[in-house]
Amino acid sequence: MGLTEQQQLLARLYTDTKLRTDFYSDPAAIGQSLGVEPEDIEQLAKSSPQEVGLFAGSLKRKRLGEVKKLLGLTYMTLGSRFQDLFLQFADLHVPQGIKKHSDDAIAFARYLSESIGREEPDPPWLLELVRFESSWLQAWDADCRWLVERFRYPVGIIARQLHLGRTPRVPRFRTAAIWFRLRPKGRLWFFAVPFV
Amino acid sequence: MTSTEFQPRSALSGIPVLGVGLGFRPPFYRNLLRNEDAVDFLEITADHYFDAPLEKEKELDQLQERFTLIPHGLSLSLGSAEGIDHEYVDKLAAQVERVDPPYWSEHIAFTGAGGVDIGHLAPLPFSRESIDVVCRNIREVRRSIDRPLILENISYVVNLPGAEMKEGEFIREILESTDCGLLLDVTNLYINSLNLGYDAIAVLDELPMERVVQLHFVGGHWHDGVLIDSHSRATPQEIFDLMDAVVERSPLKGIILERDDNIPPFAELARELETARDIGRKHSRWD
Repeated sequence: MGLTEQQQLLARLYTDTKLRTDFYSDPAAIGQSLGVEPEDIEQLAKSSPQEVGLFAGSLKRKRLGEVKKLLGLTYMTLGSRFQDLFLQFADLHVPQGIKKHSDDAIAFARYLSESIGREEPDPPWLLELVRFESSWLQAWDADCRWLVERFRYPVGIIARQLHLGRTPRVPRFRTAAIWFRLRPKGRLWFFAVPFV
Repeated sequence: MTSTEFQPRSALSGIPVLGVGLGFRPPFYRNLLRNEDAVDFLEITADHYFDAPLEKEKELDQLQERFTLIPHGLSLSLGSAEGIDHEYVDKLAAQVERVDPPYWSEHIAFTGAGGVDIGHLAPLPFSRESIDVVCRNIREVRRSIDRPLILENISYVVNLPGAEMKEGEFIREILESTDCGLLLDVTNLYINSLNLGYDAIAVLDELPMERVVQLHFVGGHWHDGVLIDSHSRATPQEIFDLMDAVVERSPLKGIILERDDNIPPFAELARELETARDIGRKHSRWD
């Protein structure tokens, strides 16, 4: 098997749980469906499914660790549920490129909003906090000149209280959050204002 | 044994003694500015400064005013049989030019193939074809970056079929063919020795120790019976013992502590740095 073909198949086995399970259950059938030559399938099937699974798990935990840092307040609020939801999400999305951790966190924030949005959020400002942290990540991108988002809760106050280790108890009131740079790749400015 | 007993090696021979330092992470920033004396140099993650906003550029300026900076790449994927990403190389080259380091570093690994970004460092089979691929990619990178390059051994749990040699021989062939230095990650060596069941000291006899330029060290954690290179714990004595054996056998110039998670008070990191510094002193690698 050429190294090019081996790496292409390995990259998929490391990042696609279903393909990995299917491949090690029936390497010949899955390999054939992927257009891999029989002798190449035979060689790769000699790799240990336990070892490959272990590595795949470590990749997810690494992603989780990075996303925990980028959505720190959401993680602080959701606790162990953050990890459970991330592990569900990790199979649906494989981030790419040099901004992959930030893109991963933004995609996970979207997933959280969709998953938690189906139920009554607890605390009630949870989804707004998720969107606030995701907005920060988008605004932090050097190519982003400005971003305006409306929230139903005072997200700036909620974030500050969480940073101080307090449990936010805030009434619902609408807030506009604005991020901007005066010049491309310049300093990022932020302010949040209540509005009626 | 002192470093002068080793034969000078072309591109590596001009690398100065750097001492003991930290892999820079943003939470260290303020403490670093207040504790400059505790840290001799810094390793920066190259990828974190690509297309960076002004705040990161200023951070880099501040660090560069105070410390020698060594760019450390994560995603160049020197082991990719498909070749390297030229856009990534251009960004890396611009950063190396800006930081003006005595050398830069990357890993012996691949990080993606067929349009899939694996997200981390994946091992190569220890084969002739892999050696050819890594050497070809290094030659390609050198068209854009002419500073000395040192390559890091990774931790891994997957033993790929198709191995034609031991890892030490594999690394030696790559380094000798490309005149690269070795960034020996002592923690990775220790972790692999436990997870894969071999003697770490015996591996030192296979590695080109005369090419060791820099070390990495930190502690990992156990997960389901496997030691994980999580950069999340204090360095255990066993790793310092292994470091001692490595420093005794090599002409190294610098040692970097790589702590990413569960970051302790800075004083604890400084104590670990001092332990590593003492090991270097013991073997006359610096004053």
